[in-house]
Amino acid sequence: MNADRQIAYSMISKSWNRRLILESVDVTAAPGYFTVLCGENGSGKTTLLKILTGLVRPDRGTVVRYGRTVTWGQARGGLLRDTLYLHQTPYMFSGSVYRNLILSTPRKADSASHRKRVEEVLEWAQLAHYRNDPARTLSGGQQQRVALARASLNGSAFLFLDEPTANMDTRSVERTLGLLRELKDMGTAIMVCTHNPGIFENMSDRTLLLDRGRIHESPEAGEEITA
Amino acid sequence: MQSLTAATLDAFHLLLSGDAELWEIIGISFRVSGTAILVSAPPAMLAGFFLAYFDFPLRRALISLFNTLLAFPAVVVGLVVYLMLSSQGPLGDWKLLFTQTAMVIAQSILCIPILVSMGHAAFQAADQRVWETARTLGKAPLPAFLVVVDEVKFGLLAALFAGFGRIIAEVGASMMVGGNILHYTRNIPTAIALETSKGNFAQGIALGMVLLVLAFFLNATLQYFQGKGRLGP
Repeated sequence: MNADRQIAYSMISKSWNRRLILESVDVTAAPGYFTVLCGENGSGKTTLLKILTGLVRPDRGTVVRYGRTVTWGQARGGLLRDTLYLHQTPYMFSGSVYRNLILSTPRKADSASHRKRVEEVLEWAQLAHYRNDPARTLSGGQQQRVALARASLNGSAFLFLDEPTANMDTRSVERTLGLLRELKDMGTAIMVCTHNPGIFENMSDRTLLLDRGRIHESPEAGEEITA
Repeated sequence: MQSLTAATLDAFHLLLSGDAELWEIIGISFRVSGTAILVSAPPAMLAGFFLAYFDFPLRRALISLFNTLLAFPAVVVGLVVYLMLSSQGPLGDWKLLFTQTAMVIAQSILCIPILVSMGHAAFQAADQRVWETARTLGKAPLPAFLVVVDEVKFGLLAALFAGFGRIIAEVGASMMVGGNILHYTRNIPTAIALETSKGNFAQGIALGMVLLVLAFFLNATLQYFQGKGRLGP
């Protein structure tokens, strides 16, 4: 792992209504590295991913980037800029699939090249056929692909996904896994939280178990964590 | 005393003949109330957004306060603004009493609770994921806020129309702080009150019709946009 390009989170703790959700969690995201984070429903997986992406403030914790250790608060701007969180049910902006992708660029790009890139990503995510369809009318699997297309277009090097294959049929799961594998091969750091780690066993580099607020290394391969 | 029919016919005549005084009163009304909405909407919408999306101390108390202020009588707002702007008041040196600016201040205070409460409801109806998605896509707070505004625009439009409808038709505050001065601070509701007290019903009815047409126009516009929104998810 190239330490300069990775993000190392340390001593992340979070309480909610006086209940300890996360206790001194250490976790690292590195380019091209696929991490599966599993745990029971309500174990704090979603909260952890939102903290890692800068969306939820932890009670304490530090972040190491480019060899510098800073507090989470100091790192937040960079986390929001460089990481991307995908909800279990991704939010689709009103309007077409194309508009959803156009809205995903953080800053204004040259319009012609930007549109070309959007068209390429539509093809990549197998969404060209749905280009002008209202995004909210798509199936769950298609919406997940729109979210992945937005992530690809956004260019985030660190991708954190919350149950990306939940409630999907087999074909949609395969397509989503295919896109994730390509993103990984392109060097994107991916962390997926799930209560069914078996789905990702062929592509994961590391499996972590979140249990009672603490991280534990790899549960048995293929083991399904039930709610 | 005119019959209702005769007064209504005279009212139509006044409106259609382009009576200068009547249309000046209408112009003052729209200018004052439009300015009040423009001034109060940005902070009120931001307040509604913060109340809907962020947890902070006294948040619930503030929501209750704004909901309570919805029922604040216009004459009480007028009284408070009058006391503030009168020569003995803390802002008396500004010499704003009986000016259009004083009316804008009073009307802004009146419509802010409507805009905050309805804005809060509109933002709350939208999913928390809108804000999170915009932020995680790398948008800075202001562009992310504008993305959320775009997602809830029909609810916010309804809030703006409701606020505008409330202040353009209120008489108490405008009368107290504007003084109902012809060619300067006389607006539609204060003119209706004055003309009715003088027994001149034609102008009152004509101005009342303008308010009715305005209410219909605002509602029809809102229905049109909401209908369009439903057709395209």
